[in-house]
Amino acid sequence: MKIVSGTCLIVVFLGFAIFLNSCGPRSQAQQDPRLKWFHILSSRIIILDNQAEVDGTLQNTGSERYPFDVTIDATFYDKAGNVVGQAGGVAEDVFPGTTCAFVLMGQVDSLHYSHMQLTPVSLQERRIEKNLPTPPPVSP
Amino acid sequence: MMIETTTPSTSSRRRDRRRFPRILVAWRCLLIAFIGAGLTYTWIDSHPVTVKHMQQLTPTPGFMPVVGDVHDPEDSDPDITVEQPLVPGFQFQHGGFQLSGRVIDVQSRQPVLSAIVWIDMPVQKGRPTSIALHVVTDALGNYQFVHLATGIYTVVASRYYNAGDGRYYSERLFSPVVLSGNRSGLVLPLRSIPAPGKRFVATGQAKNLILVDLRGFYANSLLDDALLVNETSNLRAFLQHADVLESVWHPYGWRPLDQYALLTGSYPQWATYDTWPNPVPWGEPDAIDTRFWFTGGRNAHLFGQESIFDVAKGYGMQTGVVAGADYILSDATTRNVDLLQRSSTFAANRWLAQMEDAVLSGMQQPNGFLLYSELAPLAPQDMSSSPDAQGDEYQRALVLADQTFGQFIDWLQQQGVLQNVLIALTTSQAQANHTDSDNFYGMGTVGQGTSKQTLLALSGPVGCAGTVDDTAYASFVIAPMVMHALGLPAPAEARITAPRGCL
Repeated sequence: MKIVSGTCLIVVFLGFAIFLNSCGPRSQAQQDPRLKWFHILSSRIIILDNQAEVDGTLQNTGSERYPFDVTIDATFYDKAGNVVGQAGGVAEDVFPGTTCAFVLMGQVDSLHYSHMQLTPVSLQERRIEKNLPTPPPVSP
Repeated sequence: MMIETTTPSTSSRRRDRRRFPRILVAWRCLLIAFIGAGLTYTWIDSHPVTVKHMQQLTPTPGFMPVVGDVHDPEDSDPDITVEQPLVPGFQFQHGGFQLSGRVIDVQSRQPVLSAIVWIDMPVQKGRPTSIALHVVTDALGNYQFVHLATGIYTVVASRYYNAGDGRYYSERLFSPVVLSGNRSGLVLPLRSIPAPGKRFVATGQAKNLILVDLRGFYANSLLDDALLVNETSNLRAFLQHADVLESVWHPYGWRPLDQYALLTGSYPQWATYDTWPNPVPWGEPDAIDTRFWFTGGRNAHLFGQESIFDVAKGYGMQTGVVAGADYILSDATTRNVDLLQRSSTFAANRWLAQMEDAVLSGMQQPNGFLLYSELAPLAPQDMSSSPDAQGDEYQRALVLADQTFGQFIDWLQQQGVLQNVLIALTTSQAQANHTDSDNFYGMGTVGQGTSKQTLLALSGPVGCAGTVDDTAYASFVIAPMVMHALGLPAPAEARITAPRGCL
């Protein structure tokens, strides 16, 4: 009986683990493949004390007819490559073939800032506009 | 009747036997529920329901132009598209007309992508203009404006981004467009100018530029005021070894506009009323529309002229700005600027650290660097301090500016970089704040008022040190001159060319 009940417990824990895993956050491997359509054409950083604003333009080279809200992260580095700040923001409703401006806001150690790296990280709809078609969610 | 008798232990075991299947069943049910829920969620997650929300057509109300749309940013107007004051006064939320077309290269006839097209109402003297409306062309060079009111529109286009084709497109002002209905197919040809991304530095030519804007001080305090000799020893020592234009006049006497003129050698004449080349003396009504600078916000500062940063970036230079918190954020002051560092208050040590970092970083660039900096230790609330008030804020700030500038020059010398750097010194916004200290040194040689007077001093590896030119120039001359000294073209819309001089 002990063997049976022990086996049952293990199976229950395994099932529970599967359940939790399926409910957990999406892994890096499941990054939206459509992100590769979006290219950052230009960017510049404007610093006020330790506040950082990154202005730039982003192009949608895809052909899907939906506009996407593109979330962009900026990471700031010092000369040695250490992270000295971050910023984030969204380029909203970027239609295929078009270029859209974006503004990212964040914090930076202005005295040690050297360079930055910008990365589109998500296409999740941030604000649903009544008159614009909404792209389907990402398929892994 | 047989009575079954059992011991307590036997009875308990039988009860357990009866209970065990029930517990097992419960565990199994729970297990199945967990596994089922997990698998179902995983399946749903991997097969999303692709609900495509198609565009909903909203009924378009009748087009009702509202009197005063063009000039009523303070009034609540339901036909205006977005919150004031960023809205152009001639655009409606619904209805109206469309204006569309293409931007092409005038020589190759190929479409120009990422060009900016503006429309605006024609400028009238003494009347505030609307804020311009702008769009960016797509990959086929197409642009489109929607919901426009009937009227005559000024159309302008340019592109000062290198979109990977090694060229910019200089600003072009087109013939006014009369719009009384939908209009399409309006072709806007632009002329390209080179932006090769690299440069050739001739022998003896400066590779780098540091432009220091001594803000809040009179040029006369450095040039002529005998009472301020001790307070300006480092600055005067620099002037003695530089080529100096000592009679340079800002067109407006107010920093946002003058700084635009300094950095572009031009001004958005199509966007606002402009007195040049007949400026009025400082303090007199000039009918200049300053709405852009007061209330326009970031979008209002898109004008489309090429700045010294655009030129430098087009030839591969690194660009940077070290400025105060009130540095105007316009396309001319931020576009093609790699790093813009602003500080809420002036601190000499921080200013020096930022400048030194920018120089050290720029020295690594194969095409050199361009660094523009405001040296502005005089706080805005102290702008009414008189230059002759012994030990007052003006003099204290001037001493601090002088010491800081001297330390920076000394550091450049210690680093051994002066042979590659052109240093330009100028001044701006000399107490132009309508107090008794305005025009402190009189109206000046051209009668414009000494609040508008500035200077340009250039010191580089090649030149004729110690020369002074007292010819009167508009400050539009500064951008072409510093670019010329670097061996680069003047900003495309610069109004005057660099005078022939030593550099």
